[in-house]
Amino acid sequence: MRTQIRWIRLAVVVVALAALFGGPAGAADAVKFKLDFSPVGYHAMFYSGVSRGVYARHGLSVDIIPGTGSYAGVMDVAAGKIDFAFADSATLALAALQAGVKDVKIIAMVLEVTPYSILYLRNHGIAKPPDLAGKTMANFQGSGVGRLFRSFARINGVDASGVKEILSAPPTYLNPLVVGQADFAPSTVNQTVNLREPARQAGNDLAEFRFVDHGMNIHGAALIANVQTLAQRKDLAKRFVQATLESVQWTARNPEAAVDELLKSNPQLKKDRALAELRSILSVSVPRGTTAGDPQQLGWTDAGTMVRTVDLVRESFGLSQQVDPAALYTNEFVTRP
Amino acid sequence: MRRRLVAGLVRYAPAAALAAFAVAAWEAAVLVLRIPAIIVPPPFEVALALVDRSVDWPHHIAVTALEIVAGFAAAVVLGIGLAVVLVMSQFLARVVLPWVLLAQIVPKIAFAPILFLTFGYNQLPTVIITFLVAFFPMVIDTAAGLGSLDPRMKDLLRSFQGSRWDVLWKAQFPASLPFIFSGLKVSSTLAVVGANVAEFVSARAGLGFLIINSQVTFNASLAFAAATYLILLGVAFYALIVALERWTLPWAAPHRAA
Repeated sequence: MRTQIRWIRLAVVVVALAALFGGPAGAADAVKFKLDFSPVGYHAMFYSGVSRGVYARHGLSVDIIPGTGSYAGVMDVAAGKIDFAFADSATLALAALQAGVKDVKIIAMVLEVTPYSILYLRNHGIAKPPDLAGKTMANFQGSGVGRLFRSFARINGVDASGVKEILSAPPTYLNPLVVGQADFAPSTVNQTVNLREPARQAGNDLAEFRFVDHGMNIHGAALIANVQTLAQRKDLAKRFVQATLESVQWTARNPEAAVDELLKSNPQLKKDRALAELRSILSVSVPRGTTAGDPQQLGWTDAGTMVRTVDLVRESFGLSQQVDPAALYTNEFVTRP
Repeated sequence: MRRRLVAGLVRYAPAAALAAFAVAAWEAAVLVLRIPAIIVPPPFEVALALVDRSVDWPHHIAVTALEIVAGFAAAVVLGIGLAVVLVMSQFLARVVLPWVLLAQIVPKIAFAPILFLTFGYNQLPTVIITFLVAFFPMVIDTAAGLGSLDPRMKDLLRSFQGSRWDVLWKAQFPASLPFIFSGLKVSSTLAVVGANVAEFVSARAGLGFLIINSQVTFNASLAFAAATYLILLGVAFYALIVALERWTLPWAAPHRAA
């Protein structure tokens, strides 16, 4: 009888311990993660992390929130409403310079190389950057990449004084370029693959000047967090960065499968277009992710590139304020390559 | 039965013909002007998108419909309530009415991000924005209706020892019903606009989310299809209120324009 009671007690202890340490669903830390835009192809990097259980394996329950631009993501993180966001480095620099945002840091550089580019129509007499002088630019009010065109113009010898602008709403501002009402537009490399065929249908030959190839080698979008989150929930930030970088690397090596994962939660997207978009971003902006090297090579923020990013934002936006570029990021959560 | 069917066909034939002509003109314009499908898709592509099974249409429609109904319901209850208060108290009318006007004029789209920041990235800010957009006509139309009662009727009720509440409930409120239904009809269409605008700012699902997402991904046929469902949702909602009006106020039917 006594032996039976001992066994029962042991069983109770085992069950209790299992409930304490073995309950994966209940134990996961909830994380709110905001994207830069509404879900598109390159967001497969994050959605596949959720659907393949990468975040869950790091004890995280990640809620991905569609974004409305990097600036909104930076402000949400600054206000502490969102744990992490995927936001453009240049936009973070702008928020620090212009709005005095000091409490937000880059914790992992996902798009090591900016995907920004100038989309232009070859058949409108443009072959090299100086040909943009006197042409018409499609743009939207408040466009960050539109303002960076000023630095692009200076570096590439474009006389920007005669450039005319067609301003329209952000989601559709590239339409005038596609139909040939505008000659060029500041945008990103993933839009080139989206728009080349529609432009051809309208009788136009679309091409691009990538920023990275034209003296504008700056960082792209990164994972950002509030300094309070980093101080109070350091382990959470570390796990989030690790899981995200794992997912980015898997996506870089398995883009088609990653898009399949993306479509599970975003079935409204078209697979071929999402895949082309993802591949273009990976090839330009995630160069290290495509190799089979150390997964921790991803995520590193380069000091020199960050200085250049801040300098070009200051120049383009005509800002006199100063900010220490080193204060905008930390490499604490990634291993040096 | 057959005669009614023929009469119905004759009645709606011109509208159907106009719709068919518009669709044909749309198809022709896309072809002749060589407009890329990512900007204006041909009607056939939109029709395909409307029945595209890879898009969870019932879910997206239900999300938007819920936001519209919740925001609209709040606008109706609080709008009628506030109108009663304004009519009953001149002092409160002077204090509150400027704020109601301000809330109507202020561009909601500019303040929407602040609402999401304050209340979180869920459906509550969308319902609040829908409410704010739909609220004003309910207050103004109801207040106008409550104030439309012939003063002699008020005096008559008071002469029979009727209380303020009796005057309101037995005379002012019934007299104001046609005005309230006018407000309901205007508010119902504004609620659809409000929910859509809010979804443009932030959403994970819904017809507004689909429109923005498809614009970002250059899937114009999906955007047009989502807009079509949004229009149908708005029309159905409006028709429901018209039906309710006919049921509640059958005597007002011959004078009605819509």
